[in-house]
Amino acid sequence: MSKIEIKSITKDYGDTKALDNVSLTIEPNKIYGLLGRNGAGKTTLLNLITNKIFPTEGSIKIAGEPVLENDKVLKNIFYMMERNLYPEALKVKEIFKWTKEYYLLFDIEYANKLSDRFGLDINKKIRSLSTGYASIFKAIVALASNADILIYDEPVLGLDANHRNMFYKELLANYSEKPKTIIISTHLIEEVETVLEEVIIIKEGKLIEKKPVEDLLASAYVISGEASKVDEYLKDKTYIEEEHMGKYKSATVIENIQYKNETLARKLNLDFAKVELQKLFISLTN
Amino acid sequence: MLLDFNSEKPIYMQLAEAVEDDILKGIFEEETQVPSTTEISISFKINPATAGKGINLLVDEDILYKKRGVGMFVSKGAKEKIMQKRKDGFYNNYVLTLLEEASKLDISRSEIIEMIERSKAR
Amino acid sequence: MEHTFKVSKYIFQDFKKALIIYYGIIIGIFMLMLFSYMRFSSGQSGDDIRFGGFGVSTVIFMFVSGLNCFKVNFKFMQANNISRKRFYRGTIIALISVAALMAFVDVVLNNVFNQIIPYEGVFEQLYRNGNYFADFVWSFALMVLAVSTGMFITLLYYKCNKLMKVMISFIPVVLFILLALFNNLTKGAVAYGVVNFFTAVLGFENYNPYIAVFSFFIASAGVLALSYGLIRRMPIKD
Repeated sequence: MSKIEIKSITKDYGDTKALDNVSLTIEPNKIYGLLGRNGAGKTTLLNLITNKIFPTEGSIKIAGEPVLENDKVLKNIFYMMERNLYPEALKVKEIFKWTKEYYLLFDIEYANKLSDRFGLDINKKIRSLSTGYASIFKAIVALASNADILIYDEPVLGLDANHRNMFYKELLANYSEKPKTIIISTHLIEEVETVLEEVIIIKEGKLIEKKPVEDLLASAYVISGEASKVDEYLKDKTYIEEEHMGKYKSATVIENIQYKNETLARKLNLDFAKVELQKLFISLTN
Repeated sequence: MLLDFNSEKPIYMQLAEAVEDDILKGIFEEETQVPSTTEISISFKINPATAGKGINLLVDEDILYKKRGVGMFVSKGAKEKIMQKRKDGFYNNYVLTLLEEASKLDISRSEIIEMIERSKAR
Repeated sequence: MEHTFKVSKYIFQDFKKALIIYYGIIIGIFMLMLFSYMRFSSGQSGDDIRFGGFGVSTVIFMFVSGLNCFKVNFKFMQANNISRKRFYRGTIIALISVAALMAFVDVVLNNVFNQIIPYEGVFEQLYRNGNYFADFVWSFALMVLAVSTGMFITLLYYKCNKLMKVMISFIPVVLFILLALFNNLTKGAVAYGVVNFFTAVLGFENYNPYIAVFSFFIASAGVLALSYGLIRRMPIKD
């Protein structure tokens, strides 16, 4: 259906390479997390997918057709950007009305219902929305758009805990009712970890990981205990992210969790623990 | 149903076990409906595919079955099946762990048996 | 095509408010003219009082509209994932429609004012020609040129970084200074040439407005082509 094929994408800004030969395929109807440090190239990638900027090299195709200046393909994508592109002088309800002109499946009733639930005043002008409500407004437009591909760039910026909770639940309800491709680019990895099906990790303009969350989490585990005993366990093993606290030490072992040496760990009095996505992300992108 | 996102065990497996627990406790009776994957996904904020995987585990084991157009139901004899499954795993999951912890604390076999006797009196 | 019109619809509704205010002001000024005429004229024909020149303000209005038609609208269309092609086409259609509308309203107003006070529109003043159709076509062509030029300039500014903006702003000044210099050196030949050029191109020689119309359309086409060249790969900036 709406498979996104990114082939050898490079984006240069003068001497800087924002993206370096990135290739990946985004399968339809999954929830993807796009993770990376500040300046890694996440927003650049999203901007390229949505025809906001143009690649220096490479191509992006959706459902077999190039994205570049292609209205037929673009009208199936809704992109909630971190920055606001909406006219500041317009009211929320006016923007709902106009969005329906360009996104024919936009559901104004649903948008109004969501606005009510989140406490967004649809009679307010865009310029008078707080940071949080500006995000809520844009998120609502995205949720109500009924587009095949939804892209969220930092959707919960400025949202309080209650609203963040509501957002994720609404996103999941919307997705369950009508499956679509969702890409969420965010720094809040801990929060979003369970919502995602797959993660895409960008580091310094390069793609370093694309895997189902489950697989990524199973590809490593944490071992901890007395420092010397831990070191013994770690002999012949690949590991990252050591943490010391006096005689206590923990390390993240890069090995599939099914291969963990339980007998050895028991002998050495060590404990296993699940690796957290955020911790794994931090080590991978250091 | 309780899910521990910090546990080593994959979420879908935890979900399957949590549903099993609730069946054992009688919260989900046989031939009654269990929450849909959508409801579970929204409630726990987990990906629907993950929720689906957990539910499917139980369907594969004939603990749940799907009524088309309605939802997932607890199979007849599910409670039995779960109890048997858990009994089979009891030795590995609980007894060995208990013995391991006991050896760590230098508690002898006879002391363990004495403790078990003591608990019976409660 | 229908989708392109949706873009036009949005751009056009942007104009509505400005148009109402503009014509409100025009009518207001006309009232002032009417008042002063009634106050100061002796009522006899042969009075040497003349009013006129609204055409100029309309051209300026169109030019300024051209300057303002890009940035906010472009961002809005990008938010809705509209291609630049479609945005450009939709904008041109809207701008040309507004130009036609204003040219028409101007001709109508000119003739209404004419009946009440000795008013002469710009067209009348330049070509001594009372033909309504010629007036309309000439005004229309001039408006299109004005709005296209405004849009082109704003595109240029949007595309350029700070350094280039400064350089671009200097070009007309530098050009003018150079021309003045050459004019001195050639003892007025440059000025003479420039005047001749405009007289020919604007049809002043034979009072033929259609030559001007042709020139305006050629110039518009050129400016619009350049504008498209700028828009087609315009990245979204801050």
